[in-house]
Amino acid sequence: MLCEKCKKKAASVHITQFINGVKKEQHLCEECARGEKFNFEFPKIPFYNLNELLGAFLNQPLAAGGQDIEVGCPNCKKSYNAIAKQGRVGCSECYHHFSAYLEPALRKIHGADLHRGKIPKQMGASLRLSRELEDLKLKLRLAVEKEEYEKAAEIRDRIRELEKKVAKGGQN
Amino acid sequence: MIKKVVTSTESNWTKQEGLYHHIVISSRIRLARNLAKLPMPAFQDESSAFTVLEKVKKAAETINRQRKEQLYFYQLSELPALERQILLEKHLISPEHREEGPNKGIILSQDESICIMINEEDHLRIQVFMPGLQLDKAWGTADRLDDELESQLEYAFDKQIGYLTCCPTNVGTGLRASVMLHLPALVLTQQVGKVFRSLGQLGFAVRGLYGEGTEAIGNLYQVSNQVTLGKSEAEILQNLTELTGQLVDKEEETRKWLRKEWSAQLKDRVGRALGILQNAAILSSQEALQLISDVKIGMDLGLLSDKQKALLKDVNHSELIVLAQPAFVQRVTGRQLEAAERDQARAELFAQKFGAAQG
Ligand SMILES: [Zn+2]
Ligand SMILES: [Zn+2]
Repeated sequence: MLCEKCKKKAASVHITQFINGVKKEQHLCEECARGEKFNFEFPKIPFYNLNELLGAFLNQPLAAGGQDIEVGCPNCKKSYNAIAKQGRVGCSECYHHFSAYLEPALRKIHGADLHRGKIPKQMGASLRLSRELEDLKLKLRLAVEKEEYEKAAEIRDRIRELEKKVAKGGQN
Repeated sequence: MIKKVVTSTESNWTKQEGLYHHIVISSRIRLARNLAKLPMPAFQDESSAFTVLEKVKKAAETINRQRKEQLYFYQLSELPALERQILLEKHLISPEHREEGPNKGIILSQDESICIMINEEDHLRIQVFMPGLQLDKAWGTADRLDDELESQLEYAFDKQIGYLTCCPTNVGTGLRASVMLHLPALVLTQQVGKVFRSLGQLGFAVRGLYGEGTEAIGNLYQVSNQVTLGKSEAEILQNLTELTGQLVDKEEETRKWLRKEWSAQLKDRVGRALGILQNAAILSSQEALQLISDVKIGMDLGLLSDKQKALLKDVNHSELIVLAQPAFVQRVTGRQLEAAERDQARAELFAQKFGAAQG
């Protein structure tokens, strides 16, 4: 596109102005643009309706062998249809009862199906320890791959310590 | 306590301090938590909502005995609509939480760094607000508070998929971290669309000032993580912190270029913006936000005259964002206003702030 003003150079500056409420677009080269007054505009943010998107995830056809869609959650009695329609679960137990539907949806939404974050203290030390061990083993493998042997040795010591703790039954 | 919250434009996040605070207005951590087995808010009836509200209220009372910084509980139905709107305008609650409802609550700390929403989309949404880029510090506060609450409440948690939330998009850590950015240079040079499109692909969401679907007014954007499952909190925060650093670099780089190539035009904008702020008789919220953005970039780039500098010495941009909002103007004038009257009242308020010109 050529500059609208000098009609010689390529237009590299694109200006949108609102003058008395009327939108006016200008395409200018840098040199010509510098002589112009410019105006900010409010760019619109693309907006996705998360509920609709989610509805699509939750309405995925069920793989064979899943639970019956007609049987509601034993705790809150909500049917899967009600959940899919709202894009919201009825209660925490829905995640177990409808796992055949919800787990594939979670994988689609997050690209993962295993929680790697915080674990409530009440869940007991043992789960936290085993999670920490998994993480350390992954770090060890990375350190060895990168030939960071000093770091690897440190991680190995930490793993041994944790394994002793796990053997003793998870007390800190 | 609430009286100060709804009358002052100050909040913990408006302090204009912390890393990159000239571009990163604020950082927010939000943790979604639910009580095991009780119906989720999307499906709860009044009595189960009341149960949740009472349980959380009691938990807050118990942990208050061990806390230096006290937490204050409020039932939202006991606050007038105007005050709920102000809580929204200060970003302490969401648009959904502002709406009329019998068993909604909040738990606030005095300095407004903490605001827990009760019976919003989840039973609890623990929020921590800090000025500038301080996601780690905000997370530290949220994490400790979460531990305290967890000692009193039975959370819905699953070993495999983590914290169970009403909407599957929050399952896992339940963590939504976000930063509010002022990006006038990227908007002006029309790079912002391109930058944000690439963010979507990287798993971040971009929103305007008041959440989903709102237009970006005043060159303000909120960027947050989208994925909550499969990553640790530390990873999520590190990713967003790094990304924010990159956005700040890009904005800075563009500002340098603008300062070099367009300084006359920018000075012109600042002068015009101040002229309008000082003299307008009708000022919409949207226009006010745009004008204070224009003034802010002039301040940030050191393009002000000595006279302008003196005028803006005590002006806090973050508080002006709050002041520009509808309910706040209403609050200050102390009576119910129609939209048109509000714009007039706002014009007066801003004229005072910016030292009205004679005449
Ligand atoms: Zn030209
Ligand atoms: Zn259920």
